[in-house]
Amino acid sequence: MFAHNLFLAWKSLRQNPVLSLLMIGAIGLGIGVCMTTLTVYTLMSNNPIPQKSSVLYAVQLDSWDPNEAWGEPNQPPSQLNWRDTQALLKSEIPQRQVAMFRSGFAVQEPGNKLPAFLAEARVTTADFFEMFQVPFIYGGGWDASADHDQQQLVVLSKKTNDTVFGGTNSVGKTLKLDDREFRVVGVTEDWNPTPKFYDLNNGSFAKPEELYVPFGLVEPLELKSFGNTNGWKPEQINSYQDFLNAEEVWIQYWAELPDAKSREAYQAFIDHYVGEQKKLGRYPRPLNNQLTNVVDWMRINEVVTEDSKVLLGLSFLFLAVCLLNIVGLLLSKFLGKSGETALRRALGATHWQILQKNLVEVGLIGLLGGVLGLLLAFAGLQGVKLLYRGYERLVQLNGELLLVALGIALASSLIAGLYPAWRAARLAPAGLLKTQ
Amino acid sequence: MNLIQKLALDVGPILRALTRSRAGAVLIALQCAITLAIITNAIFIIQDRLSKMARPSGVDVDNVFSMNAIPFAPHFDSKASIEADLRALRALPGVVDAAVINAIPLLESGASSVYAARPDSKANEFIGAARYESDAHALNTLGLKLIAGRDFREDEIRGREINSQWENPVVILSKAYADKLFPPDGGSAGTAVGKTLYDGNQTPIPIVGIVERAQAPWIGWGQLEYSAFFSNYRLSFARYIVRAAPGERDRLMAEVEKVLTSSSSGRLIVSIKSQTEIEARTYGEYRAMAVILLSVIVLIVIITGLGIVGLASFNVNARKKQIGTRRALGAQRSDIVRYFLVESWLITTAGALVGCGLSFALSYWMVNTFDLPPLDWRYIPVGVVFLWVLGQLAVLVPARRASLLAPALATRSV
Repeated sequence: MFAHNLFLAWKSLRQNPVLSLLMIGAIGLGIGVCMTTLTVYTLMSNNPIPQKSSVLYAVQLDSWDPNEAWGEPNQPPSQLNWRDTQALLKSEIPQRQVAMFRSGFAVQEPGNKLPAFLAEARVTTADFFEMFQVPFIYGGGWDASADHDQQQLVVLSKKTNDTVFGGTNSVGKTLKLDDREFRVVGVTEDWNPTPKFYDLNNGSFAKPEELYVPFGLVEPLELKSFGNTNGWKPEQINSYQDFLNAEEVWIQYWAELPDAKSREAYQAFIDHYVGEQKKLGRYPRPLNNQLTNVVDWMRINEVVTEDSKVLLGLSFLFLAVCLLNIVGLLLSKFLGKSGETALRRALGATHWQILQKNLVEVGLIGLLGGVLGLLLAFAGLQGVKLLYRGYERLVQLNGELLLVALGIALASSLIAGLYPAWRAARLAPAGLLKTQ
Repeated sequence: MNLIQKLALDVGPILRALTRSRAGAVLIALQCAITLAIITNAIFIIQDRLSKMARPSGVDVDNVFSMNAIPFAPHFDSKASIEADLRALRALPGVVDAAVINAIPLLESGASSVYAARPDSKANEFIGAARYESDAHALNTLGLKLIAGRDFREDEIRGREINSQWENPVVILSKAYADKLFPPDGGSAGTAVGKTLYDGNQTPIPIVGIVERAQAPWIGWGQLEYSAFFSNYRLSFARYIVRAAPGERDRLMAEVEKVLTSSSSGRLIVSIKSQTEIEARTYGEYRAMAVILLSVIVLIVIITGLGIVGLASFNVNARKKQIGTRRALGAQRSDIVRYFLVESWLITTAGALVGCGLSFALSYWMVNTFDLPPLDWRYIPVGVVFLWVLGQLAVLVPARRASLLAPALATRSV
């Protein structure tokens, strides 16, 4: 029966190709626009580290200006200063913790065959790799002792290792960073957490850094941040040491707290620390230290842009217009065929059978529209990639989204078709047959 | 009978006919309503973005390009290197001027600080401005217009390391910032020249000049028009800016890399970019939003237009007999066309009425959920007129087809 209905539906579509194309086109456009915006939206709100997102916490201390909060509503700064970082690193409560910032080095390979090139670098404490589950091709991260012993060690990204060492196992080899020798201890696999949740300061979808060096080198090598440095307090900063002692914030800090108990203990620890600092005349604002998990952190930092939310809203309104359009066209189509329907009814077809037949036709239109919509969404996403920089890795259709698209197409067309199909099935055959 | 009377006579029968077969008309009216809401709000957002993109940065956009100079060798003599590089750049044929600076308008990265007009200013009297650390060639290179006072003198220029002491800087302010700190009470723009700027450490900094306009590096910043140029430049994280003679920029951008890379090995020259590219990148998301919204508007107009065509075609088919009867009873072709035009107008108007409410509801939602300005009501009448035109145009072809139906149709049964 279904096969027969499908055959009838196909025949009916071909009977009136312009109207059919119009309907398929309308569903396709609606689905295409919705899927484009929905894809961008879901990928922006992607959880980059689902297995650990509830145990990783961004640490914020409110060391800011007494007259004005860092951000509304009463948000502490998103980064820490050097002094507080040093104090926090001494805590043994977190299972793992990192202090880090973005920097850069001129890289020279050992033979000096290539011209020096600038590589973005992450200066971080040792826990980074295990805490964020960075996959390695060769070797691994450095031992925590390297953060104290000021060893000149480096972890390379796959890309940097390909450039400098031709993709070979470079562990144990040396290269020059800013004209100083560094020994390679590991090479990471291609690793692209999207969004780049651990440092949202320089674009939520920025690429990961090209190499990693120990945080212990900050002071001896006077490393500088390539990211944001923000201050509020007028301070005399006339040397690197002055800068380290200043209230300027420039270091990202994360703690891994596996359960509620450790979380509470750590909150108590940072609150106690700030309380002690208040006695020394620092921290003029009311106590407001925050531990924020990955998902909340991305929400607070508005990783999903407002534009993308506006477009998502508008595109569903757009789909609504397309569906209203289809309801109208289907109504015309089914009522236009009332003669045929009347004949079927007179020959013994029930209301239900007519309804079924009409719904199969609607479903077919929805399916074809969904396929068209996917093609349009694919084109739309290419357009989005062209329009926005940094979205190249972000924007891609995956299987899950394909199913969602077809599902929305089918469901919405059936909803749209229900009323026309029912109206057409309800017609009384007698009157219509008479005029024939 | 004049046209108005004819139109008035048409309305009654059309309304009665519409109430007999409501569904199609209601669907079209609803479509029109949502379409109006989308169009008005989308155009409003597009207009908002375009007007922001149209704000001049103050820089001679077409001819300026810049690059980063990053020293990496330990004990590298940055000062000598910068001076040599600038000499080499200025000596290139086609170069109008070259300078060193820490950031440029619309770069998206840079520095800012707070300053005040008096040493004893309270914390809330300090006002933030973009901090440009530059030399005596910067104004000329960027193409900024000096409207009061003077440019830096060569003897006021010092190079300093990051995190080191400032060396007796003097400052040039953007007019917007100067007016904010020293409100001109009916006087000329130059009232701030000769006065003193104070930083957070109460260091006095003499104001020597005012430029008409120089934007900050960040377009999302509330103080976009506030900027201050200081006569100390940075030895590390230096940015070279070059102004080319008209038409020479692209050739020079290719040449500069070779010239500078061959001259010294202790520093890297990276990201050579034209100001055109920098400003386009910075406004990229604005442009993208405008392009996407414009596409949405075009598509929705097509969909709604086709919907109206579809309904009218259906009505023409369904009413063949009635049309034939009217024609047989003496109705002119223009009467038939007018019937469909008036019908479409009534439907779009009903949709527009609902659409006005929807437009404001949508705007209300966006204002409350996002950081968007409320919809300007003037976009609504424009949208309604647009909807009317769309409705009339879309119905024209089916209506014409109806008017060509032969009166004899009335007598036939199929």
